[in-house]
Amino acid sequence: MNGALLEVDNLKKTFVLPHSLFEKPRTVTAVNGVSFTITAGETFGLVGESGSGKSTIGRLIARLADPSGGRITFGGQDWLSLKGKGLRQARRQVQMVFQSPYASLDPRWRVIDIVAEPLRTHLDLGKDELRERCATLLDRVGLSSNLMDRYPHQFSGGQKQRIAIARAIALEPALLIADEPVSALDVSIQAQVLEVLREVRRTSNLAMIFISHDLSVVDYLCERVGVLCQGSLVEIGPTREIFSTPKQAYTQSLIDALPGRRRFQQQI
Amino acid sequence: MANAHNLTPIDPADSLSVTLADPTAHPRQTAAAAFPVETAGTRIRQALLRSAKGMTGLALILLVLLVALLAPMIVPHDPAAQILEWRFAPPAWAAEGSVTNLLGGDNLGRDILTRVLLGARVSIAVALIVVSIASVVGSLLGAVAGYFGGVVDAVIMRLIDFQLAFPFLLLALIFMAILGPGFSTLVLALSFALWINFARVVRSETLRIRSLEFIDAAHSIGVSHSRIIMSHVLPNVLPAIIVIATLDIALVIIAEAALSFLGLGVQPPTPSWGLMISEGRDFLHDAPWMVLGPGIAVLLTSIGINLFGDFLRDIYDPRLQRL
Amino acid sequence: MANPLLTVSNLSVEYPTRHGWLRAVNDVSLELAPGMALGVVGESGSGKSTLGQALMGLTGASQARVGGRITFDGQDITGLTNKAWRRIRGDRIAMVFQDPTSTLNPVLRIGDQIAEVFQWHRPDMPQTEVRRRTLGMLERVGIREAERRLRSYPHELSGGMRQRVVIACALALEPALLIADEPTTALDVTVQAQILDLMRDLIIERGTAMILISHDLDVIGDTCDAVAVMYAGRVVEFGATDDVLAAPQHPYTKGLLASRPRFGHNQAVAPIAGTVPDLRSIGTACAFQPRCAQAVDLCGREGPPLQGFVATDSAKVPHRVACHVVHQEPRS
Repeated sequence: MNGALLEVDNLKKTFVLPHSLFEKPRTVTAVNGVSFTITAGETFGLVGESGSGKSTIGRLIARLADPSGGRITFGGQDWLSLKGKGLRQARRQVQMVFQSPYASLDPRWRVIDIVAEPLRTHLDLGKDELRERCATLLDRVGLSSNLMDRYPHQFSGGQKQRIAIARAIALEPALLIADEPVSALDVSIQAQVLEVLREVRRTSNLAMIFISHDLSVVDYLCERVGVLCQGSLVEIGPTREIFSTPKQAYTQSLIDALPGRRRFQQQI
Repeated sequence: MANAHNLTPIDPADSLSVTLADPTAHPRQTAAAAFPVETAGTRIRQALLRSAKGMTGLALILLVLLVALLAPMIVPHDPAAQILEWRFAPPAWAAEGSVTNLLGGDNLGRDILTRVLLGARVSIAVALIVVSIASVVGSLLGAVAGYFGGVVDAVIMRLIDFQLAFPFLLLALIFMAILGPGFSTLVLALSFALWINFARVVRSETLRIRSLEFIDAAHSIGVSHSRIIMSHVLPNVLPAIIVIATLDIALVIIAEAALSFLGLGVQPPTPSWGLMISEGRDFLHDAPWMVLGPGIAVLLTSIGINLFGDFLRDIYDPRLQRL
Repeated sequence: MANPLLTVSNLSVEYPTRHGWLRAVNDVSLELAPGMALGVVGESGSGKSTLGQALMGLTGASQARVGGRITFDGQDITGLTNKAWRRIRGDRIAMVFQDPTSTLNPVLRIGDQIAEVFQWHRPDMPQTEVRRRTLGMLERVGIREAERRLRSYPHELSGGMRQRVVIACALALEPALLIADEPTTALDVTVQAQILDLMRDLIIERGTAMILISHDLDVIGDTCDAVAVMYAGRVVEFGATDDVLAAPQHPYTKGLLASRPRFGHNQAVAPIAGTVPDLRSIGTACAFQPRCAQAVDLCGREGPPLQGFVATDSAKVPHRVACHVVHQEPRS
């Protein structure tokens, strides 16, 4: 496809279950031949139940796990052939926001060190410049730079997730993978994080893969969506189209399960 | 308790929703007061002043260190001098005691106080050196094993299993046989015996920490493995290391005693607490003060180190700061 | 209400902290008719879980100070001893927690866990009867091949199935009141819908009253007859679920509804400005005032009482709200 940032082609991942020396190893297929393409600046949603393989796909693209088969092309280069130092340097192009704001920030690090970690790793900046860049980043996610010297536990879940976003956008990656970034948060807090993600997307040419089991959030944020069922993409297309006229019964069942949906239907 | 967590006060200093939802200022916006910048040093110092536990521990440790340092200058008598009248001399507080031998005299007529003061040097030196070596080596190997898993883990774990199969004394004997008894052999043997304590705990802690998302996050940023281990894994394991180190210091002092007793450690007439306790054991009934002096010294040192270690562990965990 | 099952009057729960007492639940009054499902909604730190714990007599372990009165089935249960509580808990008042994994005992077969409920509270029940009821309960909560599943251990079941087992334990003795604290938060959306349907069906079928604690108004909207919105330890709005969701009065409730993306409506979400206040620094003012765009001078001086809202005085469940601005509006 023309202008494709990321091409995922027939991606597969099987896990070997723990087994003893004398047993025949048993495997579980988490991702089973998934293909899709993302253009620069696009927000793509991946939805499905837990166990559908959506998080695994995110981890494979982020090179946190190695696929069992298939190809990933990122920015025109063979993404899976990268190794060692070359891979470490290329990683700045693809950043991740994780599900749990409690586990994704090192509890012993101050916010400034957390946000500056990518900068320190890839750039050679002076102390003052680091502080300045961090202040700007925190400002972008709506946190006061006065809070830089605090520790993660001094923040609420929503604030922590915003710190994680600041870290992820520090190196201005081309692709941001957000794996259930609001599922661990109270509904009232989710909006803060969603707005920050929207704002980040608006102010930069960032493509995003938004992984979630919550269809209303995906509906809100994503232009295109892929529906995953047991490791396979069963439906893919523009979000509005898929959610208003789902072709698969599985997609419909996900929609029907949305809380508040039933009341909403009663009212009609 | 889940609820106590819920109730952790969340700081009002937060401006996001203001900028996003409603640009017309909110009263809370100005509440983002400057947070005092604290370095780790000042933080520990301030916490120390507030903590009775930390202060007591530190005071005891300083006392022992001071004694070890100044021992040659403050001892009342010659440690090797054997004076017949001092044989089994009771301590000062006993009915027939005298101030000449405050803690009494031993079976060879040596002054116990003198030997306790000088013994601090050996015991403390051995304990500190051994625990330093064992904790560094053990923690690194444990972290590497837990972090990388697979073959590396298997090799290190088998090494531990292999060593556990040998009784500690047998190991020490092998060392002595090869290197001959003495201070450095003692240190080597004890370090070799203790590193597995650190390795095993650090490995299991590393396994837990490795599964946390901030390790994935560092990974996806492009941070190298060695740096992840040094800056994310080990700092988070440190509380466990401190606990083991404090326990092991006490252990080393006692193990040194056992080895010295067997003639495998510090050689007489150099005094060490362990040696003194061992020697006094035979006269426990008739001259209990022979073990009392060194016994109390070991006890106070262990208590001091444990209290201070406990305090350090609390302070090192930023999550506990506000409690 | 003619004969309420549960009456909570002026309940407050305080925890000791280094900086003094922390009031997690503040002057909460509620009434619950038999068979009624009440939702309690609020953010982390709103006191909703503490309220649930107080209603189950579980605040003792944390040295909490409990004030006010709780009357259950005509009996004052505020000052009951732990021993007396153990007789009520699981029998007359049952509970379901968020995490089914830690609620179930990992080394007991699930059949034994359900049977244990009967054995503890109905020691005279014959073994065959216990077994028959256990089996019936498992079947009722939708566990297939119940006979075989009796011998399963919790780890052999999925999260949703485990929560079904927990519900089976909770409802085994047909309690008059079920308290469910975020029972579906740890579960997938599809499983959540199934569990909520199951709970709804079971309580209607048995006439069990329910208090469902959740941070998600939508979950409560699907399941409950009435809803209490909690903020900083107080109930700020109370009413029939349909009334509250259709015409929310308190600015906080409105904010909660506006902060959630609506499926199929592409309207922008609006986060509530600011964050939950430090419970120790509220004083006498309305706790929501610092985050409230409509706040007037009065809001900073005194907290508004929870009062009936004029427009819905004919409704069966009175719609009450604690907001000066709402109460002033009809007059001005």
